Amino acid sequence: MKRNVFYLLLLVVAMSLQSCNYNALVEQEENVDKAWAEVDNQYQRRMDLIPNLVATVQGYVKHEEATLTSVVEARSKASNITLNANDLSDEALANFQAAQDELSRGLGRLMAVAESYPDLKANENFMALQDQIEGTENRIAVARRNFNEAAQEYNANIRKFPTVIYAGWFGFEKKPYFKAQAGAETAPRVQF
Amino acid sequence: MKKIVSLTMALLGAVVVAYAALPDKTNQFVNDFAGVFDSRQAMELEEYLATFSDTTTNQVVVVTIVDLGDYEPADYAQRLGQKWGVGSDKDNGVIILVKPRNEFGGGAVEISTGYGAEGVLTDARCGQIIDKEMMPYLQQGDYFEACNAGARACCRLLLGEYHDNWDNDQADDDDLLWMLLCVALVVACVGFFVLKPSKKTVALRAVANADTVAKRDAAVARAKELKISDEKITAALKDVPKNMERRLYNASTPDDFEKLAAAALALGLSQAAIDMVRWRMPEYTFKFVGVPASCVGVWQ
Repeated sequence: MKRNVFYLLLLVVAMSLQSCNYNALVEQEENVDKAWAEVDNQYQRRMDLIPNLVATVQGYVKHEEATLTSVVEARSKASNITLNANDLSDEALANFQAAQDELSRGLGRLMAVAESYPDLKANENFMALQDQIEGTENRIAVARRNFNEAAQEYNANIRKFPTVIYAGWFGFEKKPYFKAQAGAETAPRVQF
Repeated sequence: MKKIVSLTMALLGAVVVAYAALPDKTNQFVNDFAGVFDSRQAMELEEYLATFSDTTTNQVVVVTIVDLGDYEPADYAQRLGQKWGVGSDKDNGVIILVKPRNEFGGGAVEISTGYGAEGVLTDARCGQIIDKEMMPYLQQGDYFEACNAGARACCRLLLGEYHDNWDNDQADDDDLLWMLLCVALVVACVGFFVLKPSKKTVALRAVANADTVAKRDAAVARAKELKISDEKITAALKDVPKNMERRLYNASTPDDFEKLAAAALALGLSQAAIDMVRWRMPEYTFKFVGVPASCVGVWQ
C-alpha cells in the first residue's frame, strides 16, 4: 500500500513539475506562427514585385508572350493559395510550396530570356528590379530557415515525455516543415 | 568494409569543413580577415565608421574573408550580421562583405542590410552601390578603395534617415514631459498633506493673530494645553502688537479703525504707535463721517 502511494506521489510530483510546460508550448507555437507570418510576408513581397517586372520586360522583348503569360498566371495562382498560421498541415504547406515553386521557375525562365536582350539588361529599372527580386529570394530563404528552426523546436517539445501525454489534449499538433527546394543553379550575379 | 568507413569519414569530413564556423565578433568596424588592407587605410576607415556609429544608431561593418566555404555570399553576410548583432536594437546594421580573388575562387561582394536599414538601403540601391562605386575598384583588385567607397556611400544614404530617428526621439521627449507632469502632480499632492502645519504651529499662530483680549487669552490657554514651551508662547505674544499695527494700517473705514485702535490698546500696542498710524492715514484724523468719505473719493 505504502509503495503504491509513493509511486502515486512521484507521478504527481513529476506532472506538477512539468505543468508549467504548457506555457513553454504556447510560447513555441507563437514563435512558429511568427516565423510563418514572416515567410508569408516575404512571398507576398516577391509577388508585389512581379507586375512591375513584367511591365518592364514587355517593352523590350519580342515574341516572348508565352513566358510572360506563364509568369502572370503562376503569380495569380500563387496569390489564390493563402495559408493561415492555424491551418498549417503537411498537405496545405505542400500545396503552398508547390505554387510558389512554380512561380520561382517562371521567374527563372523570364530572367534567362532577359539575358539575351542587352538593352533590357542595361535598363536601370530592370537592374533595380532584378536586385530587388534577388534580395527577396534571399529573404525568403532566410525566413524559411527560421520557420523550420521554430517548427523543429516546437515539434521536438511536443514529442518529449511527459509533454507528449497531454499535448494532444490542449490541441498542440505537429507543424510541417518546408522541404528543400530542387535548386535551380543560378550563377552569383556579382562576380569579378 | 574499409571502403565504406573511409567514404563515410570523407563525407563527414567534407560536411564539417564546408560549413566552417563564421568568425567571432570583434569590436571593430573594419575586419580584414583576408589581409588586403594596409593598416593606415584600415585605421582611417575604422575612425570614420566609428564616428558614424556614434552619431547615428546605425552601424556599418566592413568584412573581408578568405573563403566563403559552401555559403552563398548573401547567406554568409546575413548569417554574419545575425551572429554579430550588427546594428542597435533597431536592427539597422549593414555588412559589406568582400571575398577577394584568390586560390579559393573568384571574387564576391555583397551588401547585407538589417530590417531597420532596408527602408533606405533597398536592394536596388545596394545593387547600384556595388555596380557603380565598388565594381570599378574590385575589377582592378583595389579592395580597400572599393570598401571605402561602398562604406561611405552607405553612410551617406543612411544619414538621410538620421533625421527620422531624431523625430522619433522627439516624440519620446513629449512622453517624458507628461510623465514628469504626473510625477510633479503626485509630489504636490503628497507635499500638501505632508506639509500641513502641526497643531502646535496652529496654536502659536492663533496666539499671534489674536485681535481681542479674550481671543488672546483663549489661544494662550490652548497653547499651554498642548504643552508648548513658555519661551515660544512669549515670543508669539510679542508679535501681537505688531499684528494689530498691521491691521490698523489695513482698516477699511474710520469706525473700523477706532474699534481696532481700542482693541490694540488693550492688547498692548502703545498709544504713540496708534497715533503714528493715525497721522499717516489723514482721513482717520477727521471724526466726521462725511469728510473722510469725500477724501477717500478724492484719493481714488
